[in-house]
Amino acid sequence: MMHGELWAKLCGAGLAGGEMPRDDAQGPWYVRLMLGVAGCIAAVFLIGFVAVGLEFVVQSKPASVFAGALMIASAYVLFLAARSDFSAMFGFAVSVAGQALLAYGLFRLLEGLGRATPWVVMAALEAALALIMANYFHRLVSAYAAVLLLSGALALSGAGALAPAFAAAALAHIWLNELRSAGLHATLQPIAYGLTLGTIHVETFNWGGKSFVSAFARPGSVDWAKPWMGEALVLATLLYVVWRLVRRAGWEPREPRSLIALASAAAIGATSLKAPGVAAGFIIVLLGFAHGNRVLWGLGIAALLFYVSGYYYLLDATLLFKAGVLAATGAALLAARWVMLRRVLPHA
Amino acid sequence: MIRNTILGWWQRGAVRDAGAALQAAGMLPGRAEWRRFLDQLLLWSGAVALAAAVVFFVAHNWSELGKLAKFALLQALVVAAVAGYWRLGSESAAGKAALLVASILLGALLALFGQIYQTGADTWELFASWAALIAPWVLIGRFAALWMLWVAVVNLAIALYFQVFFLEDQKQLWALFAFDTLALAAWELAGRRASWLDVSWGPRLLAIASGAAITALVVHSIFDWGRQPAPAAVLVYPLWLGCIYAVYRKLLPDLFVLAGACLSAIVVVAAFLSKQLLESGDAAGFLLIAIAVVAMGGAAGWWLNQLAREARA
Repeated sequence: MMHGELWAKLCGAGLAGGEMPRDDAQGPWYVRLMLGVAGCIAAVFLIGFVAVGLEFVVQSKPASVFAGALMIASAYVLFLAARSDFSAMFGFAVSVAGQALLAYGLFRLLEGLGRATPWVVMAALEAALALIMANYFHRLVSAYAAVLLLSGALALSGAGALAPAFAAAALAHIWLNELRSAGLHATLQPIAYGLTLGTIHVETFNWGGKSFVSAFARPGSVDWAKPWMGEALVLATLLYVVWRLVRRAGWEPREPRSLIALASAAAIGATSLKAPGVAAGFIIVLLGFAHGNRVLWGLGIAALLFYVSGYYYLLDATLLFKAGVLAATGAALLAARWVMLRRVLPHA
Repeated sequence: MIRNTILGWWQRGAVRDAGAALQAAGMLPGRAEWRRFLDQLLLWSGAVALAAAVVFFVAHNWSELGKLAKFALLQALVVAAVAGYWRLGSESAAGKAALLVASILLGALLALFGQIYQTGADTWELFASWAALIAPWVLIGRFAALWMLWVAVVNLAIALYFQVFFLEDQKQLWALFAFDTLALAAWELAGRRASWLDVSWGPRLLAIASGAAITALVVHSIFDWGRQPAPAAVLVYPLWLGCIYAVYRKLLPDLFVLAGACLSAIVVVAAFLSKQLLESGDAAGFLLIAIAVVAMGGAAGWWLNQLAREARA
């Protein structure tokens, strides 16, 4: 459907009126992705420039923190003034190089304050950048980085397994309330995508029962939070998402179809306790489809396929056990389909 | 695209209620769409999980189960899946799912054969035989995902063949490039005649595979310059870029592939500049390349956004 037709349709439905707004919509997601990847390549060379040309800055802890912060502040101003892809990309490259410099200084500066502290500080910084940097790709990358850094902080505290639960709850909350505020939408949408990618990534940490940060920084130690705890919380988020969608459809809480929908979601999500990622993948797919967001549900499908293939390498269980878990998952999915087609959404 | 347009208008205050506007434009699912979607989602994910369970089971090589029982189990499942395809019909989603499962299980059956009889065959032969044996099903399946599975299996066979014989990485990349480029051309040509092949994700995945291989070859040639005679990649690459432009700008417009080609060109130019400017270890070289990448990216972004606006107008 062309823009003109769409505008006429909305005007006809009384949802818009007057002249069609001038077309200054952002480009498709893959153009933004291309610009972002090119920005990352430019950032690598900028980091090279700082490391080689400003070696004295890199060697000093306070100087690298200060110079990094200055570069981030410059990028902030560049984004505010940006009228073209050139300045936006340059701002992104300067900001990423600044963050690398700041992180390098900060991790050395805070090393006496506990191992998780610099991770928490950097996670908070990335969360703040996701909110204030007026650039779509920057917000997305910062939100993604915040999830990974928070996951690192949790892993160093023996709770790495809970990271997917926090990330999944945050992404579900934002996507479910995506259409609440027109003013905040431009800020929240890229953050929600960043949280989605972060969730897909940190779910893999629960495959082996121990995140990579924890494996390197706390070898031989036992995490107090077990993967099943994190997955149980992700399952709770899946149930909350299904509940909200059921209510949105106008179904009553005590109706059999509402309860069956929740029970089916619980049965599918419960397989996540032994096959981490299933519940998170379904959260993303359902949210994407419910909101007509094909990119989001495509990400969810890709995540589910990735989890099935990656599950082969999960070290904590034998292939026989994993075959059993997958067979149970397949049976739960097909049973849920049977119930859905006959009881929840029968032919009208 | 429509969704983003509506949300853009909503952000600027031109549309009052984003939810109602998305509904009016048919972007939000109703009861029938939810039913169809959940039907397909649960069917496909269930089928993939069950097929993966069988593959894992075979890979475990359970000693409690005799070899005859293992063969009987897998062969029975293959026969059941093919019978399911025949029973459910070639045009139904469930029938296609059954054929996909049968194709995956056949790979597991070949792996089991190699595992039990220790045939001494190389891994690439397993994948090549798998591709050859499922080819008839792929031909009759009229199903894009099955074709993509076949392409992926052939890619694996090619990659493993070159690993087994310790041939250079470049030969492996050339073989992958040639196969994926031919597959891309074939898919695009066939997609115009067969509606079931007319899906955007298929050619896009093949274009990524073809582009990644030729980009890696050119970058390889740039860093090996002078150590090898007349690198063919440097000659083929502009030709590839030209074909991509001609096809996806003029004949079958697709901004996704054009954006990928732009990124490939940026990587190649950055590699060329790195080779020329960074060998001395001068800091200014890094800065210059960063600026060049930003300039190229910005120009590519501007051009692609112009094309996107033209397409929307």
